[in-house]
Amino acid sequence: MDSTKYRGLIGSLLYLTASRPDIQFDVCLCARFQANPKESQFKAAQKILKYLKGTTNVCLWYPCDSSITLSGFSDSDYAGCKFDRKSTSGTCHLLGSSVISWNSKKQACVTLSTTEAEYIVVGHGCAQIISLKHQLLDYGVKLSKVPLDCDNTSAINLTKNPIQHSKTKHIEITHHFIHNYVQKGDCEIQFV
Amino acid sequence: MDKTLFIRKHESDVILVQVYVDDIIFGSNNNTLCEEFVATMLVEFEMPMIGELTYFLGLQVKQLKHETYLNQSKYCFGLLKKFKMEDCKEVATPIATNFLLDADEAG
Repeated sequence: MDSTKYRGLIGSLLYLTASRPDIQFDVCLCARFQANPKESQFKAAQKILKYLKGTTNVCLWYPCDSSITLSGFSDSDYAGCKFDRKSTSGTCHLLGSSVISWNSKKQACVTLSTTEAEYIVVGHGCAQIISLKHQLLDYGVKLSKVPLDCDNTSAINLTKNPIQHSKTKHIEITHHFIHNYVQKGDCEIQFV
Repeated sequence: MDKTLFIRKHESDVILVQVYVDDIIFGSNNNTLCEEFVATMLVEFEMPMIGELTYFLGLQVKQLKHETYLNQSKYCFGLLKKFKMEDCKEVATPIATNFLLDADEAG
């Protein structure tokens, strides 16, 4: 497999993710094999192109009557990567009814539970909310509790009270930064 | 916080100017403010005025009365052409849902 061609394709697709949240995860998945690409992975990347063929004209939609409310969504696929058993985080943020920010990233460490995987992803989502709030502040928009959706009750409880019991005491300190922002009321984690 | 965003408020009117390296986009709820800004900039700097925003940083922008659309369809068509996939069959999903993509060591 010609790795230059594969990397070229991935690079071009990554650029396209600037306006295409729908292919974000798939492009990032294919991008993991750039070091030593194989035919099967090239086929997968080509499939993204086939999908794009049918959806070339889709747009991001920003209606003018949309409200200025920020909301965040987060999820993770627990041990989604069968090769090293790491999970992938996915977050997106909506301003009113329009999507303004999206992200998909394989987590840096292997997690022991879905709770830990979700806890890390709400951390990512919260960091993005803080940055978006700063940006909105430039435009004179001040938002208080921004809702961030999460589908794991234990992870939500952990953001409110990071107790050190056997299942959570190993979680790295960086992931606990969200606790502070939840306490200050910058964002509010909701169960969906 | 953003050092390249400029806002000028004039009673109930507001003009926003965002600078990115050598590109500038601006918008206002009052057209007069925009016209004044353009006039000032043209006097001060040698720069072309492109007009209504249709293309910025690789994003195509379509502005209608009540909504704005953003996409990269031109880039997307170019991409399909570059990898000779213009005539391929369309698929509904970007990746197989029942198949796991792995390192494929056997190649």
